[in-house]
Amino acid sequence: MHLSISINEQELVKQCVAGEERGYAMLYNKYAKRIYHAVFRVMGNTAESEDIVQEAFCTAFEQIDKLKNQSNFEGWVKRIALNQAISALRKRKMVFADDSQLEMVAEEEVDISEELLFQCQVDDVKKAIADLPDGYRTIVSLHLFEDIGQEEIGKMLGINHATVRSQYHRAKKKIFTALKDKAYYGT
Amino acid sequence: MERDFFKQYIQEHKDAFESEALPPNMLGNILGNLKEREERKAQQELQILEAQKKRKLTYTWLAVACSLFLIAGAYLFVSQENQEIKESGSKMAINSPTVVEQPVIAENEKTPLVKSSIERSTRHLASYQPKADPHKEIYAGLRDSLSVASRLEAIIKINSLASLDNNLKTALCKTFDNDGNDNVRLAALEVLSKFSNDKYIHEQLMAGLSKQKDPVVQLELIKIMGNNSNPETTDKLIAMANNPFTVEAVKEQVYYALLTNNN
Repeated sequence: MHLSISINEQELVKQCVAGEERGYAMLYNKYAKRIYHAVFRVMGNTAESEDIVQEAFCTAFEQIDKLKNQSNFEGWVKRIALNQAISALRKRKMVFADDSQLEMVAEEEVDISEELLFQCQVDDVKKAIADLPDGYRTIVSLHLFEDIGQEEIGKMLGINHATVRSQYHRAKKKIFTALKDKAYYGT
Repeated sequence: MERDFFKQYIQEHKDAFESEALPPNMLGNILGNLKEREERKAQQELQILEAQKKRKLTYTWLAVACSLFLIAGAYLFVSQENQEIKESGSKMAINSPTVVEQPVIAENEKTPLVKSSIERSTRHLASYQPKADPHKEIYAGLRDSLSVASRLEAIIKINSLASLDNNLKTALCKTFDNDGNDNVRLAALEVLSKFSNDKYIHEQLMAGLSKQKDPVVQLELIKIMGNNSNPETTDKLIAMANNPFTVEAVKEQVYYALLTNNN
């Protein structure tokens, strides 16, 4: 199954290299949704996310002949799009604070039980993440949803990996606090 | 490493987090953007090619002009050396019989001998005196149809003059109109542009707008004449723009001149 998908993707990439519109459309339909959501989680803004995804696909299609691993088109475009999103956040004068000197927040401080979390509605978690400040939201999105390691996130954002770790825990604490409040007030 | 149950929760519900639909018409925009970029890229490549071609052409002319200049220089050097050898040879030939014949000459015949030597020295002096017409060399240079370098040198000499008399104006305008070499015509144009306030020169430059066929010369001429808001000049510029044989770059310069004109 995986083999057939991979062959199909290579075929589509070849069509794109040949400039065939069908190839562009098929690859877009296959991956655009996932990439759009990844960008949206970082940006928290529909219009900007739309522009970034369009630009990322254009860049990818333009330079598709440079794609080395033809079976990993999604990873490639996603990385282009996320890098563009991070640049856009920087243009907004957003600084990914490097607070590696600060004491790290212990994981024990986050006190929400696994059971309570798994009872939560996805929409509540979604809202709690969306309400985070830009920097925290970026780290949480990259680590939890895109499964990018903390060291790599540090490289992408230009900050120390210890900072990524501490900010991730703070963000998680904020999310859990919001979820607990929600459970407490029962709204 | 501790288990992150929050991450596990997110991974398990990932699809639910991405349930919203995509904004409409994104694919259309992407395809449109791609087409636009391709067109822009093709246009840029074309412009680069044209610029390279133009540069190549200029270099070719420069190379031709330099080689002609070198050939002319070498020819002059060799011919001068030959002349010197001939002159020294003839002097030797003249000197030897005089020495032999001197004792034979009768006293009454001595006077004409002195006379002839005076005559000879006067002739020599006359040949070393400065020429009466300072522009003679310029005319000769402009007429030298075999050497582009001579014609360019003559034009450079004209350029150093503060003013032009009528004959020089006519000769320079004639060169600008008829010379077969683009570089010479360009050089003539450059000098004429200095005196473009002169009525005759102005008329000739205006006539050049319809006569000149080389794009490089045309471009320079439009740059010079484009500042002029004279209706006749404007008519000629419009005619150039409408001419199907006018090169695109020249047309663009014409449009620019018409737009930035005082009208």
